[in-house]
Amino acid sequence: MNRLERGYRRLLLAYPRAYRRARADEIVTTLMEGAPPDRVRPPAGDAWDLVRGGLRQRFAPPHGRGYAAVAVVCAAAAAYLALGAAIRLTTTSEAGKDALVVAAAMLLPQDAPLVGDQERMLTAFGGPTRLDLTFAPQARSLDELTVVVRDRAIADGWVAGPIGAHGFTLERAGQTFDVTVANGVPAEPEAGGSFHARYPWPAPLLPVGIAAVVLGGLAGWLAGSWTLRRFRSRTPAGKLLIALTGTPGLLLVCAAAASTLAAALDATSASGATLFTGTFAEGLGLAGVAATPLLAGILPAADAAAPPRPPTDLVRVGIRAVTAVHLAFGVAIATVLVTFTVRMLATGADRVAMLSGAHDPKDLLPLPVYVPVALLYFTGVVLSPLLLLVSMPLLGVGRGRVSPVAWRVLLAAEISAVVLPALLLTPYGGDAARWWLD
Amino acid sequence: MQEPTFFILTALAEQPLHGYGVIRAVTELSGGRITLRAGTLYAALDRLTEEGLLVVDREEAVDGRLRRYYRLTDDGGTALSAEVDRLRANAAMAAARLRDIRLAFGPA
Repeated sequence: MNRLERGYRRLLLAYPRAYRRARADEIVTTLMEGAPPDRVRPPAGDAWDLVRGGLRQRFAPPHGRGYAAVAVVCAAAAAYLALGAAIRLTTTSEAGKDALVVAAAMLLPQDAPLVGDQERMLTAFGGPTRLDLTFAPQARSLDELTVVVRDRAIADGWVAGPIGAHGFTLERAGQTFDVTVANGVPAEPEAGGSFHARYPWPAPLLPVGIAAVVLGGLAGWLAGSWTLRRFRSRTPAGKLLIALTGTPGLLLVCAAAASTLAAALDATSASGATLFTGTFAEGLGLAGVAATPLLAGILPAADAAAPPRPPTDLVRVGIRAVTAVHLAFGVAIATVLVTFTVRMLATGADRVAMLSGAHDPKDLLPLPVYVPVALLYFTGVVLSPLLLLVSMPLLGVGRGRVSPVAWRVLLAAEISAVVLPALLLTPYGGDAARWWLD
Repeated sequence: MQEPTFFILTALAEQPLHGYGVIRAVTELSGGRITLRAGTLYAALDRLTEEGLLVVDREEAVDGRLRRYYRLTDDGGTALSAEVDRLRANAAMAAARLRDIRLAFGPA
């Protein structure tokens, strides 16, 4: 292999390994046949062309039939979900809005009915909360009202800045208000005054949000393209399954995104853009979107020549099944004994008190745990000894035919199948059994 | 149909060709206008194979190098002749318009 060929093979590393295995020799032949005899290294044009082709083979959606459009939708959906996560992440540390509303309400003199509302400033990141106080025209002048409000704030523990143009700043515990006082008609005419609070987004949301949109979009594009490439080579049934999982998932996420966007743009919305509340539909969509690549990953390819299945070894299958059943019975019986003991130790009750009915096992274990444990316990007590008649011969036959680990697990399972029911025959175990049955 | 695709199908219409053969034929057919590079060529060959317009005809080892020959399928021939009809209709229409203009403005 000469230097030129090595150079071309290095460039072909841009292609996925499976593709290289199938095509690299052929492509190198074409490149070498096209190269003039004096060429020693790949020209820049070829290099760029091969790298671009390789990246496309790795990351681009398949050709045609709107695959690219679907990949773009995947990118947008992932960007939206990532942005939602970024908003939740940054706003959880935000001081409670409701606390701010209370603080704002405290500033208004209580001599007239008050109304107030709050909204998010969608384009502001970091900085003070704007607080506009509007008073109905009254005897006191605006200057006087401003001083009154500022004095109330200072009395409430705020640090107030100097008054200028009917406004001042307030600071307390890292929170800042820009307060302006104005005459006008309050939000409700019969009220004496109203306040209108406008919050910025937390400052970290700007970089975090941009990164989330970019990285989320990129991840969505790559995952979408990968899924679509897998989708194309699945069996018809597999394709249907992938489509039936992915399409509703994507649609639900897109619908959530559209409604969020509409709420954010709707200036008249009184609730003030309730963003990314993580509704059920959104969660369902997220689950569908997440499940789709998994499905695409596990479903078999349509044209894969099915590898011949090794003949099933009944001993191996039997050992696995018997081990699983023994262990399930063992876990159930152990759960009963452990729950009885822990409850007794935790409450300081003695065995007689435990049987008094005050410590009902149905109250101690949540129902989804209690029901399977109860079923396995009863069947296990009856069937465990009988199952030993099958599993002990298997232990003898299976040695050397299954892995040492599997053999030892079976041994442990059989020991548990002897020891645990035997424990129930002791006086202590008998009390536990009676407690469980009662 | 994009021009490189058109020329690749045209090149293969005559006889099966291997990769470098396609590149040379396309350069020749396009009068030197289109020089395909390997990455572009193989992306196009993959796509056309997948669309059923091409198939691998045979493989040959020449001087220890693997050559794979591609051949036009019946679908490929149909697609190419449909494209030829389309181009011919376009050309005829444009030529007719040009004649009309010459009649209107040409020397009386």
